[in-house]
Amino acid sequence: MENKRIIEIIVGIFILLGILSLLLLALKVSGLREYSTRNTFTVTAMFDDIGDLKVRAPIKIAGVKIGEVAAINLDSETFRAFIIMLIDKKSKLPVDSSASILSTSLLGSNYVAITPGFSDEIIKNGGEITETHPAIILENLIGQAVFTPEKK
Amino acid sequence: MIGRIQQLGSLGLIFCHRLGISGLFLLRVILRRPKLSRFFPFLIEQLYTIGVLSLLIVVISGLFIGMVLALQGYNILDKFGATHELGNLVALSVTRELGPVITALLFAGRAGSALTAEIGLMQTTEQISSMEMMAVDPLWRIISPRLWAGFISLPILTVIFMLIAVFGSYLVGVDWLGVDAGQFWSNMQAAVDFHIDIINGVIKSIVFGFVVTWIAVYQGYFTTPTARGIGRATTKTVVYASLAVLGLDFVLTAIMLGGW
Amino acid sequence: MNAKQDNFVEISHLCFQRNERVIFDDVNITIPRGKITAIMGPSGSGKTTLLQLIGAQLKPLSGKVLVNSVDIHSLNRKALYKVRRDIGMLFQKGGLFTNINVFENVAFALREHTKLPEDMLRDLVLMQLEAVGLRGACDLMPSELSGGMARRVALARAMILNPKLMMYDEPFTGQDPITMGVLIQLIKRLNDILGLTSIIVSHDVAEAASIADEVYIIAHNKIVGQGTPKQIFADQNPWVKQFVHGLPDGMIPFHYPAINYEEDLGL
Repeated sequence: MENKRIIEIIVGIFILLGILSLLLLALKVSGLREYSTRNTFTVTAMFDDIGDLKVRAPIKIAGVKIGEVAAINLDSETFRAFIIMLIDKKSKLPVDSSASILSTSLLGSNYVAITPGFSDEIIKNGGEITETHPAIILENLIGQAVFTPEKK
Repeated sequence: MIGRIQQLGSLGLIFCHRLGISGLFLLRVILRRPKLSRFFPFLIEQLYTIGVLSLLIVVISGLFIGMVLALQGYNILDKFGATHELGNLVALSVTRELGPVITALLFAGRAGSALTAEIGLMQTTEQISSMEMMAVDPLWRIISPRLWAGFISLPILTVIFMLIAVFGSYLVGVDWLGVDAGQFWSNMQAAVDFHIDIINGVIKSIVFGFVVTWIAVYQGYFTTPTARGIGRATTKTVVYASLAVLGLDFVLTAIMLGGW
Repeated sequence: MNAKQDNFVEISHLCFQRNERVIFDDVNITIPRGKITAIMGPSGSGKTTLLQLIGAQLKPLSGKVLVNSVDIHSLNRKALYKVRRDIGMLFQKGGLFTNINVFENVAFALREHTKLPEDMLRDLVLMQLEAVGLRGACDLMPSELSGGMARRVALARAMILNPKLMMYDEPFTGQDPITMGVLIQLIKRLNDILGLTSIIVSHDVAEAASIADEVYIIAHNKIVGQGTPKQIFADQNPWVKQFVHGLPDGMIPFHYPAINYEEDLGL
């Protein structure tokens, strides 16, 4: 039954190849880095308008991704958007950091950009970023430009 | 005129009838499984015949498709000065659509038709009947291992196809056409999302594997036991399976884009 | 007529249709235990179908089939498969598994249904092959066998679990005289030595009649003749007479229905 053993080994290799391919695809092609709750801490923030922000949108400091949006909810009392962010444990954010919602390009998707503050105190797990800037909505800009009375 | 409508109606009824038979057949095959230890060797044997032996055509096709995509893509992106997005272009095309669909079509043509022909031949030479009379259920002994081997093989083949295609595009794009390797990979990684693109592609391939193997096995089992019958059954497998893959691809893509 | 004779198979009031074509209409057959029964009839009269109905590969429209006093169509799948171990069937085309050699073909049922040690299994297989005279061919593949040899291997395979009932589907069809002689001998000897009940379905009248104890003639969905071979040959029923004596013209006419000959020629 030598034949049988060889076949079994080959099938095993086949399945391994499949798993290997999946792994390679995950790492090299999609640049996967898992933002799970194990290596992250939670920070919340409230926005007047989050624009097109979606769950799992990236959170960046100086253009470098440090986390993902975990959940988006509507605060029923203040009617502001309430988002929960998972931030890489290695990042240390001062408590007076601000968060804004920017777009990757003119037609691109929205992400959360954090500008670090100057405080020595670091945001703890479950803390909140209080200074936020809403997404820039094109229509509002145009509206402002049109209806702003001329100075002088 | 009425006659035509009547024909259409009867065609529809026949279709439903056949679908019902094949559905019940599928159920019977899946539900009848003996001890895993007895089933396993047959499964391994079929994984080899169906999966491993399809590897060659999948790898070669993947390579060429990756290379052609890179070639054509470069051509067009160059006009916008966006050749740095080449990796992006190829990876998304391959993981979202081409990977699952083309692998499934190749599988239907190579493994699907072989399955139908083999089972059909066993029917014609009364091997299945004699097995029944020897008190061995051919549904679990012959059909079931082949069915499960198909389910398992196609996703594996698809993932390998995706990887090889990306590699092929790297060869053409970076080594030959001179796209910057760093940009090639980094733009690709930024654009391709594991969950949305790769996992969805794998899900598609699982669905395709299910449908293609089901059709192949059904056509083989219920073939008319003549030489001509086997020929027709094999053709039907390839045609129906291919159409089913393309149709399901549309449905799945719509579902996935609509917010999965 | 026959006193309480022990019948292995009893078929009563069997009706069967295929694609709206009536195959059997109120057919009654009894297969006596330990004897060879031949079921004969013209092509297309449904003889193979009858065997499939006995083996429960097909279900009748109405009527009962009792195999060893068990209503075989009332059994669930598990029970049916158990009963099938006592029934052996030799198919017209042999039905050997083409991907394994002769030895493995014959050993198949043993491997599936028993957990015998390998050397015991080997002995049993070789004994079966010896009984059909093909022990030396045990390493050949089915594709390397002649038609007659393939059938003998199939016979060995069907018998390896020592069934109580053996069914032969057209065993003599298309065989050369020598192979035919061998097969006839084998069927008779196996039946007598092992105390089997055998059903032979055939349209080779002379061959089947030479070893059968009881003969049934089926034509036009019904039994038209029944009895010992001697009785059948003497039967005056025109259907039986034409079939048994091979008369070209009789109840089944020679001429296909057509218009008057002279008219057709334009005279």
